[in-house]
Amino acid sequence: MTKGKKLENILSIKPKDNFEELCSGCGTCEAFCHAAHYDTEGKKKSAIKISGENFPVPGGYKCNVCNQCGICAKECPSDAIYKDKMIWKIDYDKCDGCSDLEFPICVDKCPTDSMHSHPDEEYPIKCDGCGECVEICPLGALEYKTKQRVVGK
Amino acid sequence: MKGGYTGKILRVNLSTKEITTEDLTEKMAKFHIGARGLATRIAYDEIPCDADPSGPENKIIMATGPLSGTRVIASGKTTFVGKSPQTNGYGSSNVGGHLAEELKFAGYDAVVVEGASKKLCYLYIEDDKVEIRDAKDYKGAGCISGERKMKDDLGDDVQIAIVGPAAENSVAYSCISHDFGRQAGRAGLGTIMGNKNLKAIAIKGSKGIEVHDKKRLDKIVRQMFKDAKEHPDFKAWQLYGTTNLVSYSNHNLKSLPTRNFQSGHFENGDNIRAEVMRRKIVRHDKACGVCPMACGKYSYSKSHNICVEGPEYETIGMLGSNLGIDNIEDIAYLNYVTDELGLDTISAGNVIGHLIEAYKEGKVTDKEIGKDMKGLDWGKTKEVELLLNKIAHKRGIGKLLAKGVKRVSEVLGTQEYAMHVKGVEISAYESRRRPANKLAYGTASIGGHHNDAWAIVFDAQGGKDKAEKVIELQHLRPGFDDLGVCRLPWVELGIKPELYKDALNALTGWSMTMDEMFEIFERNANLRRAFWGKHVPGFSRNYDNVPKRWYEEEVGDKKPEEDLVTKKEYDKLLTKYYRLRGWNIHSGLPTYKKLRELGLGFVIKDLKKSREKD
Ligand code: SF4
Repeated sequence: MTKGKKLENILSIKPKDNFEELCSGCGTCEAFCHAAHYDTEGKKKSAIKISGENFPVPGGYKCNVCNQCGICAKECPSDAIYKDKMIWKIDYDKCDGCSDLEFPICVDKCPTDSMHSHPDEEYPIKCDGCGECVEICPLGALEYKTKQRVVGK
Repeated sequence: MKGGYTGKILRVNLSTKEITTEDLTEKMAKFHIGARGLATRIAYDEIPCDADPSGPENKIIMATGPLSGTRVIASGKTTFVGKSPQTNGYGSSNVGGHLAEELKFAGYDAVVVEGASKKLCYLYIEDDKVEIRDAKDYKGAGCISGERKMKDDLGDDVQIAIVGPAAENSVAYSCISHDFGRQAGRAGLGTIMGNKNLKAIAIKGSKGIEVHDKKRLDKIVRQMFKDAKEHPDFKAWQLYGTTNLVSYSNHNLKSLPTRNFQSGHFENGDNIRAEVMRRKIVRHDKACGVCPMACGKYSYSKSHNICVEGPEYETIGMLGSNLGIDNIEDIAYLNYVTDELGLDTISAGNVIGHLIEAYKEGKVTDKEIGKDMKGLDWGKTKEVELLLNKIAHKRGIGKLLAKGVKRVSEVLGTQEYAMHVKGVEISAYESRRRPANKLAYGTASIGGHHNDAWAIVFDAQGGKDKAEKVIELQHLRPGFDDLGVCRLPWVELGIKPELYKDALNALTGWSMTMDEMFEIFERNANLRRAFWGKHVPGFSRNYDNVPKRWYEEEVGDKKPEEDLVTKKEYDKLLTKYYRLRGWNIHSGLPTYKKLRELGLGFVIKDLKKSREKD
């Protein structure tokens, strides 16, 4: 469920600093993300991705989720990514999924591998900061980033 | 079908290389629900009664349930079913992790593998693309290192079920491994894959699962997560997983198997309990799909320099106390060795415990165990490691040990303390003073395992209607397997079974009641039993006996004898159990009346045929 109230203050969703200690790899965040945005149950259309490439040694999970840096918006040839409060969102009227390319440009250019495409979806998949993952994560491994860092001090 | 199921079953014949799909009908789904129930039905219908479990006529069925891969709590269970190489009877074992969801995302409820490949191969499934591929690069690879290699080759988003050297060498109790340390461990299901020259099943799917009533499902799954998080034991489960049980089992229940089940209390048990393990070796938690409990613990042993998922309760019991080993790092190391070789930790610990006792009794000589072993005794990690390797590679005494404790004891003449039921080694609950749990082991559908029913706490609390309780558990617990979810949120955090039924209805659009669901569970339980009748001529109530040791005093114990469950009492309880079940009290098989009642009339002809062979 989109937490409308919270959205005002959310800069992004982020894995906690000690994410590697906390995350169990259950993928509950992915399942709730997928289900919140699409008709089916699943994980493959989740905007947050959990992976365990470090197994068996040393183990531990990694999280890719959008930090709302906005590079996708800059790169988008159709100007289809706009800022709503502090969150970058896709305008589906403008986005054409870069249908002439193998991957949408935003997916390609995302510096944190947090935008995805799916064979059955016309449009790229992007985190809209709804907070489903943060709310459901049973290990408390995710949080909202709510305060801007001081830049260029 | 409206949702929950994918509606497709994949069939792969490794002899002819034929790959086909068929529909899962709604009628069939409603008759057995799915996962374990469905796989059992396919195995029952398709495996001929005279099939050699190690031959190509045997099949292995991997199946998910209607709830698998959804947001239903702990929805990550896959069940494997086949004719057990350990028993010639019904074999089934389940595994968590992320296999079930991936298979459904690829578009299949189940995979049936039949025939056998001439060369070592693996099955690759990516949505509609299904291939039998050469596996020579993975020959002899361990389960853990082999999975890494395969993921390096295929991508980390591929989910893999793999067998190790033990299965390639046809050790009777080889497991199927997944996700770096989760196993479908029991009844030799990995052995079936090995015998088919099938090294692995690798799956990658892209799809979603249809839902009939999304809004309703949403409410139900949120309720499940809320109830789980609010349960007073939730935090302890996240911290310790099943290892929480070590202390309770050792001190309160007196059921921590010690030195080949000579006793249920390990004097050094406090060295291997949950808190010690968490402090010394656990790095982080590791969960199955959509599970908040995260009972898996990922550990690092500094002294052995290895990482391993576990050890969990069963492994601490069977490779720890049961072998007299009281060092948690050593147990973690043996866990790692056993996992990599692809042996079931429960059976391996049971077999080795038996051997150590037999050696100390003078039934095995130094020459027989091998010159490289400096004798055998309790608490010797190095020797256990050597034995595990001998078993997996069938070297020296390992050749005999690879056959399982039943055969070992027949050769050594040590049957009285061979801790198995029907040829499957008993898991980590010493039960000589626990009538209902003994009955649960005796009548478990695969042999000595606690998956179907686990009644030891019920016993400890002085539960009265023992046979009734065991039957109820044998329906509900495997019911979770049928649905394709883990039972632990219900067992440990009290998530209501009704919510699972509601989720099933929301997904499928059915309006199934609890009574109807229990009738299906009972049907599936009877079909599991009928499998024995079909495949084992001469099956009788004797098959439901528990080892002689369980009618005797603990070794060295001075407690009064009165609370021991004698053979006579056990027999009485067993007879009552059969009567309540509507099973014949001599053959231990469902009566024709019962079978007809449950819509299993088609079984009768097989049972008649089998009786003729007696
Ligand atoms: S829900 Fe939390 S613990 Fe589970 S995978 Fe996502 S971040 Fe990790």
